[in-house]
Amino acid sequence: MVGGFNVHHDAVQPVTAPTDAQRALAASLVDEALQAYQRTVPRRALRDVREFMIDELLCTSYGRAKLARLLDSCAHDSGTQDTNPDIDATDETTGHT
Amino acid sequence: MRSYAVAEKVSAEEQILCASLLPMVESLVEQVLLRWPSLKADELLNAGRFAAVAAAKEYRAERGPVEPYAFAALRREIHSAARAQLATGEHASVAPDPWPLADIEVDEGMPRSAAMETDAPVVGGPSRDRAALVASLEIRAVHLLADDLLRDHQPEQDDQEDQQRLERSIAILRRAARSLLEPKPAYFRVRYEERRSTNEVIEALVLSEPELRRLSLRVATELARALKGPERPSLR
Repeated sequence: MVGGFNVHHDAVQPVTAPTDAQRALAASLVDEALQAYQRTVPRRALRDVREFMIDELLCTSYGRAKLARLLDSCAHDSGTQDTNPDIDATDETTGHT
Repeated sequence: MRSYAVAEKVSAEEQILCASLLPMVESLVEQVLLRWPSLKADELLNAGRFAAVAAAKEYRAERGPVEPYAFAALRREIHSAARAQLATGEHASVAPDPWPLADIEVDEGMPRSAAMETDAPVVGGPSRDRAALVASLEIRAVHLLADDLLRDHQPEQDDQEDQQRLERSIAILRRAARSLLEPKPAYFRVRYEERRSTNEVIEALVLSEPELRRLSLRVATELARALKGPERPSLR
């Protein structure tokens, strides 16, 4: 805290170039989120918002963290499923992944 | 041409903030160059650095982390520089000026939405994690779309079909807002139609910030439901 200026810069981490997997995942997530609006919203607005959201996922540390969490859980899930075929039943009963 | 020389007037704290934003500037420029490879990177980087300085100077800690706060401003300046380089009238996809993502973060405590229960194909990850992220992105999208649709448009910006869609979408949003109970219509008016800042909305509606976040999420959910149309599953 310096002169009432409580800086949050420690939340910003260096952003390396996104991997192909991160780019593909970001595009597919955003496309899925926008799918419901495709019949009503102007295509130009959809295109602009799509690019904005993909950029936010790929160019910010918080967007990249969301992608990394999903990619990690995907990798963990596939690894777990290899060794634990009952994982789906566990999910149904606990409601947790 | 804008100059980065304003850095000499920047305090030490602001310089630290500014430096922390530079990786995001570089990432944004990379994204622009992927879309328009012929553009000059140096000019885009200068525009981004200038915006980073401005964002660092304007930032106030009570707005939360600096990165979500600065993202839209940095991107807008870099895309503005890209559009100036294109100088052909080609639309350079300049995004609207939304609230930072942190202001509408819905990952935590968000009700399990219909988006998480649809039979939409799920690929690329565990379905629940993915659906939760898609649901938060749907809310993010409706904020951005409402911002875009309700700003002043130049008639030549859209083709005829898009103009019809624009008029229809605006009508849907306004009708949906009118049908809500107060203070949701008031929020819609000051937030989207009058385009007031977060602090101004808080002041106008006499709300705390947490109350504003909840109200924002509820309104966005209703707007999303309306924009999707009756055949689509709602977010609630």
